[in-house]
Amino acid sequence: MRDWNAMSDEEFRQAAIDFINQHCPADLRYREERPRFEESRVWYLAMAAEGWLAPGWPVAYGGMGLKQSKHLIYLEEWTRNGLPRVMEQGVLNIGPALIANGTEEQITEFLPKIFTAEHLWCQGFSEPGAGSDLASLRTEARIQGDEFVINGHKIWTSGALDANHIYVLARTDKDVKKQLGISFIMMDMRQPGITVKPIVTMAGDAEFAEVFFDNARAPLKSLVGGLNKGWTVAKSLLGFERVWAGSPHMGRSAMDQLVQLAILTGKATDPVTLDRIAQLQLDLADGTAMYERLAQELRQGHSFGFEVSTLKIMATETYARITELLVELAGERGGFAGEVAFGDGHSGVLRAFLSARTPMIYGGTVQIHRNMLTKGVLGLPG
Amino acid sequence: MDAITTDPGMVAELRDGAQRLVRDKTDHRRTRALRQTLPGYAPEIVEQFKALGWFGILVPEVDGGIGLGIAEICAVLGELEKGLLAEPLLALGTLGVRTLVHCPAGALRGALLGEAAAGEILPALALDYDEAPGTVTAAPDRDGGFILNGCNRSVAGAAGASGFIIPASSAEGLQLFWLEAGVARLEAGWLADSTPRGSITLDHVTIPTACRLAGPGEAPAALAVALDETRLAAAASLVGLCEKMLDITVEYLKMREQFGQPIGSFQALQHKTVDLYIQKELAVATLANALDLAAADPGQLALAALRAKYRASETAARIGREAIHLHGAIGFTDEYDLGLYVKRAMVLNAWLGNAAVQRGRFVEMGLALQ
Repeated sequence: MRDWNAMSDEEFRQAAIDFINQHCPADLRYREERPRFEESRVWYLAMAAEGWLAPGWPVAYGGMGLKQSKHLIYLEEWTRNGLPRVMEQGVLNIGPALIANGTEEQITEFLPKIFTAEHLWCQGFSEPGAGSDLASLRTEARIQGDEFVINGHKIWTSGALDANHIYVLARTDKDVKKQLGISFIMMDMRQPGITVKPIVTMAGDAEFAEVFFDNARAPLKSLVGGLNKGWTVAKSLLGFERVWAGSPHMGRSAMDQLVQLAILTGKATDPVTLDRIAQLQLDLADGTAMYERLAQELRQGHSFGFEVSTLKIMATETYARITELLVELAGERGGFAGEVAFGDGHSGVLRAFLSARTPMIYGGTVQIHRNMLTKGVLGLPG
Repeated sequence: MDAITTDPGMVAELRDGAQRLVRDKTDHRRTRALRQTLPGYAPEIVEQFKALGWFGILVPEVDGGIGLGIAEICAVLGELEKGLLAEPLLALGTLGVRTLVHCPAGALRGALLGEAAAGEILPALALDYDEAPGTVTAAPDRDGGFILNGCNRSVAGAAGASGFIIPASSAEGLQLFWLEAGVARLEAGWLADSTPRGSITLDHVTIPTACRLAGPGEAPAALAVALDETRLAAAASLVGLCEKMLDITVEYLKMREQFGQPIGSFQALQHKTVDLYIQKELAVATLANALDLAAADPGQLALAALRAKYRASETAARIGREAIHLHGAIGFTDEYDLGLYVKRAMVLNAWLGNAAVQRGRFVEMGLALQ
């Protein structure tokens, strides 16, 4: 296997571009909606075969052992080349959660099946009554013989239409403080007790869904991290998700689109436009500096702290502001759907604007993260 | 000699030293008593800097200094600002000294740097508003020297300076001259924090050739590099002020009670304060990144300096004004210390280019569209 980390950034970027161009079909790119898995399977398996599916994972588990700065380059190329989101929960969340909290048996059984696409994962956390206040969740798991029997209702479950496995947070003890009575359970969705109902998003796709559990079952051995320890596992996993959401790659790609649009619309010489773009460029550059500082600390083995919330707020709000200026520069065409023609080129303005809304909501809203910083860093009273 | 090199052990040691000095010597009765006086800082503090060898931090070893870098002076300045003690080391010990350092080798430069390293002389760079070299002209006189005429109205550290580095335009281009204090007419105006801003006027001042520090070939670059290095230092000062203003505010929010509870328990104030914290963290990260960039590649110094100064100015301005508001009326009184820090931040925000100026420079460098 090639030593990716030893490459220069330029060499690595080129290798990533070559890989993408060789393996990702053109009709999967720059899509308004997220393609269903059957369509993107060929691209998923191509990535899995060469380590590009889980670049940040250790080589021993099928990844590339890629360091953060290189990973960021790869993510930039993803967005720049309009690549579709593919069932990323396995790679992004359940895999790292098992590596950190799973048994040897769980790791051996579940990790390889992520790469073969035999297991496609989704995340069962939020509930109709438990969004920002996640710990108040009511989906319940009772132990019956050597099984959990699960009843309840999850919502905003990304990728649930294509997934065949779900990891859920379920209440296993009602008599303790709410965080201390939750367990983290992996479930096969291919059973009669589980029903999935799609939710159509503003972007027009069925990105997420509701999942209903009616006496659904999972063997006791699919518990991760111990009984009633689910909140701890979930928190570490949200840590991974927040580092992802805190990385500047989405903002970087939106900035490329913004600069492109400024040129296409002839506004690239307008001093007011330039000043406003410069402001966002500096926010992005400085946010990247903050991200890389944390990434370096993570590489040195420090654990996730509240810095992750700082990054998440900074990165997602900068990303959003970039797309807001994009809509403004587009003028009347800022109200158009789809890929819109501008001069010699085109731009998907609406897609960019809508894509930038959700990172400020998922994985804890930016207001929840402000609450966490209030107490955890500033030590202000509750 | 590379002025940007970084020694982490040395940085930590200097930071500790500065923290000790701030703990022992901060006295805001004195800060207030020094307002609208000359030179505007406490001679006692300058003596401390001398004893600690800090005027030698930025002087190369071959010239009699310690030969450390910008990262080291940044560590010291950031801490000193928390006691409002940094000015002589920033205006004179950084901008003045670094301008001398970047002048071409020569007898005068060598002699001045040797004395500056020990704090025996304190050199000031005589600039006009907005970092312009000013209106001073140098014309040749009959004895091979120069006659200087004109004025520079924004000379940081002027009132305590032992001498001035004067940028003067001549038929050949910009040149730098050394002028002992006492020759030019010096007037003081007052900055936002009531410390002095010097204005010097030269009326037919004759200077021997030996007092020329840099000719047209070297002067512009010497000035540009010294200004960029000092922008990094000023950014470090501003980051120190940001930390201090935020600390004061968070402490107040925990202590002040209204409606039967600490006002820091109200979410409207919590989220405002968290946003200040995030911006402060961003300024810390940007400064660290800028120092790394400048250390790795001197070609990146200008960009590193503008980014650090942009973020630090922007952040200090925001934390300053919002800290006043988060306090309420007490924050607007002269008796409460916060105002001293806010005014100091206003001075440094504006000095060597405020945030809008740095952003303009970023656009001029063609970087907005990259």
